[in-house]
Amino acid sequence: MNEQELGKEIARFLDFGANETIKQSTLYRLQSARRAALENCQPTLQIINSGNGTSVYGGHGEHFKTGKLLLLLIVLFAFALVSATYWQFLEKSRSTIDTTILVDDLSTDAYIDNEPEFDDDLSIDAYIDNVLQRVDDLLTDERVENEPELADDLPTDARIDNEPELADDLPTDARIDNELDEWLDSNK
Amino acid sequence: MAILATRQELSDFLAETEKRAYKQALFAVHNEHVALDIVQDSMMKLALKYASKPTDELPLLFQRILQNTIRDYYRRQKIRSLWTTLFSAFTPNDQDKNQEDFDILETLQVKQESNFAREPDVQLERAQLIGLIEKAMEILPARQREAFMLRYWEEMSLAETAIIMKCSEGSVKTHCSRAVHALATILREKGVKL
Repeated sequence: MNEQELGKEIARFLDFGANETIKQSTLYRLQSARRAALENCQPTLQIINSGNGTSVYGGHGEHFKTGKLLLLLIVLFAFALVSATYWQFLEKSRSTIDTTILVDDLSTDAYIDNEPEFDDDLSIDAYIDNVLQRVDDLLTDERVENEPELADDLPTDARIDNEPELADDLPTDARIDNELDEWLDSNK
Repeated sequence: MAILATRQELSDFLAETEKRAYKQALFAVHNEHVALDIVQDSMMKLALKYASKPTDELPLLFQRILQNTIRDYYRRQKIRSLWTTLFSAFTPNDQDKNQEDFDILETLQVKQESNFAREPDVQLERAQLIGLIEKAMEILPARQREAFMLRYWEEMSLAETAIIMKCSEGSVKTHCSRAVHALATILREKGVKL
């Protein structure tokens, strides 16, 4: 008897064992399990004609709706997460520029005058880059030397102290003060 | 075009398969209650997820579910045994357990549908042989037993068996060959010649 025949012969005896040696109570429980399984049987899918050359399966509409709803919730959650992160970053940037201005000993007017310029003329990326550039300059202690370059974006009042060579062309507080002194001296 | 299984066809399929499935699970887990649970879980999964599949796909799907459920049981048992090894000495032995589970209804004979054995001595001899074969099946390595069951008992092709066992067809052949040789050796040692 070769391997195949021996295998089939053993399987034949296993069949006899399955049909004869299983207890009645076990058979009853198997029958109950089968009935329970059939009670949970899902409805059969049916093919629905949905147009020329196309067809869709029906019978699981509720699962499809659940999937779409779940996808929508995930998208909304992701959008809220990104918005919150961006808002936090923006707030942090604003507080950073406040600190920068205070450390630079600039007047509040200088900041207020510049704010519309940032919001209106520059993009968000340029705005953030500008803020980060200021923070870097502050941390490397080269702030004083680089200040004239950074001051390009600041109003004229903020540049007065650092650019005396430009004072000839611009109406500065120093010139006004000097003229006021001269006028007072002449009127004495 | 494949014909989708109706509820009646699914019922017929399960009725025809449930005894063999129970025996397969029993050989694998050596516990009647656990084997029944495994078969019931497999039936539930088939009915819930694959009831609408074509009739000819049901045997492959059911066997795949059954074998996966048995593997899941092995995994859970392995994890559980890590914690219960120290207390295993306190569990009752099989003899005591059988006495506790004795039920007078179990002595009722199952209806004999085959006329294979007509004489009492032949019937006794066959019952003993079946007992020996079933014992031999229990001590086979799990993969060899799985391959043998699917190939020779469920009469599945090499490709189908390989899909269920998640291995190559060559591995299936090897497992089957080793299983048959191991069974032949065990039966020969018991003085049985087929």
